Amino acid sequence: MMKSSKQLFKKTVSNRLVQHLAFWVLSFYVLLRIFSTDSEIRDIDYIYDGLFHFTLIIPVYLNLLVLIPKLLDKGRYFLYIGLASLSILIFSQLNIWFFDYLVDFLLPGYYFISYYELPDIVQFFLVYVGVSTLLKLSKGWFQLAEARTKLAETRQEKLDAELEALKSQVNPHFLFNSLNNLYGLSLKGDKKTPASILKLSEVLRYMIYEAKDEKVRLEKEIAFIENYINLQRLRSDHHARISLEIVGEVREQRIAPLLFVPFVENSFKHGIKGETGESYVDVKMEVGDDFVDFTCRNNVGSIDDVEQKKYGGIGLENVKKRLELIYEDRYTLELDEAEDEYKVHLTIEL
Amino acid sequence: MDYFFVLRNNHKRHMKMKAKSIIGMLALVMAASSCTVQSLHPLYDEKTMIYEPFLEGEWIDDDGNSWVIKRAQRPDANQLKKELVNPKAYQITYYGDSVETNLDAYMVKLDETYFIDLFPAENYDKEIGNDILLGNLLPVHTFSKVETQDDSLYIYQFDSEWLSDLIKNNQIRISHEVVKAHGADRVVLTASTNELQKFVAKYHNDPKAFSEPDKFVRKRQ
Repeated sequence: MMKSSKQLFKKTVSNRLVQHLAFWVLSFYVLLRIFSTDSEIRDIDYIYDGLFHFTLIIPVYLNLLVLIPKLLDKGRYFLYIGLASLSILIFSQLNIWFFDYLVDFLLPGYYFISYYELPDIVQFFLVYVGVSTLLKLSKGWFQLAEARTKLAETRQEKLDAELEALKSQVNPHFLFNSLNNLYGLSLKGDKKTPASILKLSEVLRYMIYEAKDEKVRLEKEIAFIENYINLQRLRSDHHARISLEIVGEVREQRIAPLLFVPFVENSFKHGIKGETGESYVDVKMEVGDDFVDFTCRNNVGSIDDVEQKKYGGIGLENVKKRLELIYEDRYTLELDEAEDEYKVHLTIEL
Repeated sequence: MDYFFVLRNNHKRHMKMKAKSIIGMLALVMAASSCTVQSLHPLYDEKTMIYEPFLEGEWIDDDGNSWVIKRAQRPDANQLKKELVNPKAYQITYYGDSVETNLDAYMVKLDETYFIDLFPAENYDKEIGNDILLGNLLPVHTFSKVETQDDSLYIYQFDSEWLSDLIKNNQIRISHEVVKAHGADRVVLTASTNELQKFVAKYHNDPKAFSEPDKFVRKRQ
């Protein structure tokens, strides 16, 4: 009921005819007060006020319907000012003629004169043409502001959709790799396979249900990384050095989900998996009240050299896009490719 | 014809005569206010007032009363000589009913038509000499259309009844106040001189706006 009343009010207020009627009713009242110089408002004052408005309406609508759209809106400012001034002058003089001559034919038996001199009438008309111009311009300004808001909303929606699409690309990418890993374990008949599947289910639960939000608690994101690393550890060489170090106090900080996992994933893929000799993955997260400093190092796998150009891959590109969209200038990402080590250093201001 | 509500008696007259003139003045007030339009502001201004020597002289109305019109003068500060009140001002002295009435008058030319504005003369308060009464009187202007023909003068008074009806019926828009006095409504115009001039200039040809003219004939010496 309340909503429909509001909608009706909004519809009524935004109706152009209603706006114009409201303007002229207000104008009628204001001028009536100005015109009634005696101690009381008489019926004849209403008639005079109406007649005066009759002479006012023409230059106002000439301004609104012709001069503004044809000249002012097209940037022909000087011509607009010139013609608007001319119309004010002409219609002011017509107002005087109207009350000096024409009114006697329109309303025989009534006695009116032109009560104001030309400079006074010009002032009246100038105010009305000026106010109508300002109202028109302010209306245009409001429409522009509204259009800008709508554009901003559309952009935000597009951004959200893009982010959602990027996040959704993470999942199949990770799932594809994980299933490949599980496939490898199952081929070997490894006893770690069931535990791997369990870890994968935990990881997927986070990715599917909890990482849908724009921001998640950092604590959960770190737990997810830990689970992910443990999942990877199950299939890794026992000799491989895999570490996760968390420095600082994790409290209520919130962060965009799934930003770190592509780097960790790639470090396993290109470091542990690609190495036949000593291999390592060192992940370190330094946490502050308003920042996270993430470092991931891994050895360069010898059999993976040919795929070095693919190091970033789809996941890395997604992370870069998301970082740019979400944190803009509040992050730094450094990819250091030494001869025997890859190092990723990502700092985010939360 | 009674032009105005203020009568001026002669200083030299007897006190009895003075009392009589005040009573006569009050009667004149009531009679005058009932037939002509009263205005707080004058019809004339510097731009429109003119001096027409033709008006100077003694004029006799239909009732045989005498009206003397001359250039307005007043004694200077030392009482040695008289000086002009205004180069375009007239002084009208009316003699009738054993009393003398002095008025200031100005001729106004609007739209090729002549009008005369009457106002109590400068010393009317001293002539009345009744402070209590003076405290309740306010001098006002009255104006009439003037036409001349040979040695005759025709004065057309604005019809106050016509104006009152128009105001009552909301047919005229002119600044005014309706003053209640002794059970009767009296219209007093409060319009500015400019507004008065515009009205008079525009509607002076309306036959309903004026009463029948009063005729004055020049008295030959």
